[in-house]
Amino acid sequence: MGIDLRRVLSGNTSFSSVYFKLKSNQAFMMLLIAIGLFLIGGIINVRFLSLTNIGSILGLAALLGFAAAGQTLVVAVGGGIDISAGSMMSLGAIIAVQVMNIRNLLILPSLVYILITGAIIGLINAGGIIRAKVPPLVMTLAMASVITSIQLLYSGGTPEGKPAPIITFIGTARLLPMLPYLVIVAIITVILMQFLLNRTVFGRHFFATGNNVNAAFLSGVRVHRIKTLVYMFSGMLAGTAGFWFAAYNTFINVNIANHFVLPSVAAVIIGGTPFSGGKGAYTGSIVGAIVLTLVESILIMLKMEEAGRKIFYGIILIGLLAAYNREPPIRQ
Amino acid sequence: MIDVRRRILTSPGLPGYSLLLIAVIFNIPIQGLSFFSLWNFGSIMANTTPLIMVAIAQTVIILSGGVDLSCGATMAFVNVTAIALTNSYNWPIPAAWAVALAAGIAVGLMNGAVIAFIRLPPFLVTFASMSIVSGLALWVWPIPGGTVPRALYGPYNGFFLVLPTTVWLVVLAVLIWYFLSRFPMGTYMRAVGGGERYAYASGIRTERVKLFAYAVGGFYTGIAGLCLTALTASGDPLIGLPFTLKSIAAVILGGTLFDVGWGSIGGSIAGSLFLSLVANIVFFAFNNLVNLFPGLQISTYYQELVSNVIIILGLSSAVITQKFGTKTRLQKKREAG
Repeated sequence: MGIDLRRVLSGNTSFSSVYFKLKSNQAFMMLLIAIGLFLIGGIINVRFLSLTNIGSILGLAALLGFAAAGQTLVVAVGGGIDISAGSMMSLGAIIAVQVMNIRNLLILPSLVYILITGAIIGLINAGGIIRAKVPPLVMTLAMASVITSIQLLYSGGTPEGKPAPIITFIGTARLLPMLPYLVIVAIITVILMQFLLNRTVFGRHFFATGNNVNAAFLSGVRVHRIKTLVYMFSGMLAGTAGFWFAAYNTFINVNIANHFVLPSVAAVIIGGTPFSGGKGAYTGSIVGAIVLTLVESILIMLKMEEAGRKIFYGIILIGLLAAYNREPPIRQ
Repeated sequence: MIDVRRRILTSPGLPGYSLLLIAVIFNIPIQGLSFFSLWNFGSIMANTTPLIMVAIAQTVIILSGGVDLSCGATMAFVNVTAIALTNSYNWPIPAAWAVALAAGIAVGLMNGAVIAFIRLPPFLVTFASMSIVSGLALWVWPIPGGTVPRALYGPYNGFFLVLPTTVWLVVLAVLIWYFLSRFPMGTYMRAVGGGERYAYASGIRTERVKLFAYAVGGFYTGIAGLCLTALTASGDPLIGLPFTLKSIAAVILGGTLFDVGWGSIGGSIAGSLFLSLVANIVFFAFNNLVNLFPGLQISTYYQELVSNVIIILGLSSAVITQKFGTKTRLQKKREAG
C-alpha cells in the first residue's frame, strides 16, 4: 500500500517526489527531530540555546560520533556488531595518556600504537567471526572482557599520565563559542569516511558485501577480506575515538569509555543504517549521535538522576526503533 | 550399544558435554584429589547455579529464535526487588520473593510483547530494555547493601538428601522445562526458532509462541536472580552485568545454534559448569605456580585474561564439534536411505 502510493505520487509532481524522498530518508527525519529537541530544550530553559551550550553539546556529540564510526562500518557490512568497541576505546585512551604523558613529540607514536593495537584486536575478532563462525555479538562480547584484562595489565590498574598539551588544547578549547576544535576534527573524520565509503574500490565492495554476500562473492569481491578489513577498521577507529576521549577528559580510568557501546549502536541504528546492512552513511550516525546527546542533556537539565536517565533512554530507543525499524508482517 | 553411541553423537548437547569432560580431566591433576570431595562439588554448584538458571532462560529464548541481552540486568532487578521489599518495607520473605519472581516474568513478558507484536529485532529490543531494567534496579536500590536471613542462605549452601541443595534446584528446573516442553508449545518454539515463516505457514501463531518463550525465559531469569540473592545474601544493582555474556557463552558452548532451533538445556548446563571449572582450573594453576616458585609474583589480572582466552577458544571449538555432529546426522540420514 505504502509503496503504491509513493509510486503514484512521485510520478505526479516534483514536490511530492522530493517530499517522499525526504520522508524516507531517515537521517533527514532525525535532523528534524534534533532541531525539534533543541527547541524543546530552549522552551524548558532559554540558556539551552546559548552558543556555548550548543558548542558543548556538539562537542559531546562529536565524541559519540567517533565511537559510532567503526560501529557504522560493522553494522553496514551486514549482521555485524562490535560490542568490544567500548573497551577498545578505553584501551586507546589509556595507551594515549600513558605513551604521550604531556610530551608533544610522542603524539604520533601514541597514535601508531593505538592503530596497531586496534588492528590486531579487529583481526582477532574477524578471525573468530569469519573462520570459527562465532556470532559477532558473542565474539565481541567475549573480546570486550579480554580487552578489559589487557587494560588492567597494561596500566597496572591505575593509568598514569596525561595527554600532550596540543592534544588537550584540541580536546577542550574552542575556535568559536559554538565550534569546539573537536567538532572540526569530527568534520574531517566525516569527510574521510564519506570518501572511503563512496569514492573508493573498498567502499563499492563494502556495500556490495552488505547488500548480498553471495552475489558479491560471485561477482569477484573477496568477501572475507572486506569483512576482516571492516573489523580491523572498527578496532582502529574505536582506538582513535579513545584518543580523542582522552583529549577531552584528560583523566582516564580502566573501562572509562565502556558506556559508549550502547549509544554508539543506537546512533548507528537511528541514523538510518539498517541492521541487515547494505546501505547507510556515516553522516546518519553523526545525526543519530546529536539526537542522543540532546536527549541526554535535556534529561540532565531536568535534573533527572542516572536511574531515570537510563529508563528514559531505553524507552526513547524503543520508540525510535518502532518508528523506523519494524520488520514487515509475516504474512507478506 | 550402537544405538547408545548414535544417540550420544547426535545429541545437541554433545559439544557442551565433551568440553565439560575435558575441563574435568584437566581439573583433577591441577586441583588434586580434593576435587572429588562433596564439599568442593557443593561449592562449585552453589556458585554456578545462578549461571545455570540464566543459561536455561537464554537457551529457551535462543531456541525460539530470539536472544536476551537484558537477562543480566533482570537478575539484578530481581535481586534488588527481593532485598528492598524485605529490608525497607519489612515484607515477609515468601511474599517479597514471589513479587521479585513476578517482576522477572514481567520483564520477560514486556520484551516478548515488544518483539512479537511491534515486530522489532530481538537483539535491539533487549539491548534497549537492558538500559530500562538496569535503570529500574538503580532506582529501587541505588547502593549495594541489605541482608538475607541465615535461614535462607544457609540451606542454599548446604546439603539435602546427601547431595547439595543446588543440585536439587537444578533438577527441579530441568523437570519444569521437560514438563513445559511436553506441551505442543515446546515443539512450536523450536519450529519458530528454525524458521518463522514455515512455522507460520504450518498454522502456528508465532507471536504467541515468542511471547511464551520470553515469559518462560523471564521465569528462569527470575529464579536465577533469587539464587544469586541467596548466594550473595545482599542486594546490588550492578551484580547481574557479567551474566549476560556468560549466559550466551554457556549456551553456545553447550552446542545450541542461533536461528536453527537446535540445542538442549543439558548442553547449556554443561556449558555453564565448563565456564566455572575454567575459572577453577586457572585459579588452582596459578596457585600451584606460586607454590612451585616461591619468589614468583603473578598479577591476578593474568588469571582473568587466561580464563577469558580459554572461553574464546571454547567458543570457537564448539563450532568444530557442531560440524562433526551435523555430519553424523547427515550420514545417518543417508544410511537410512
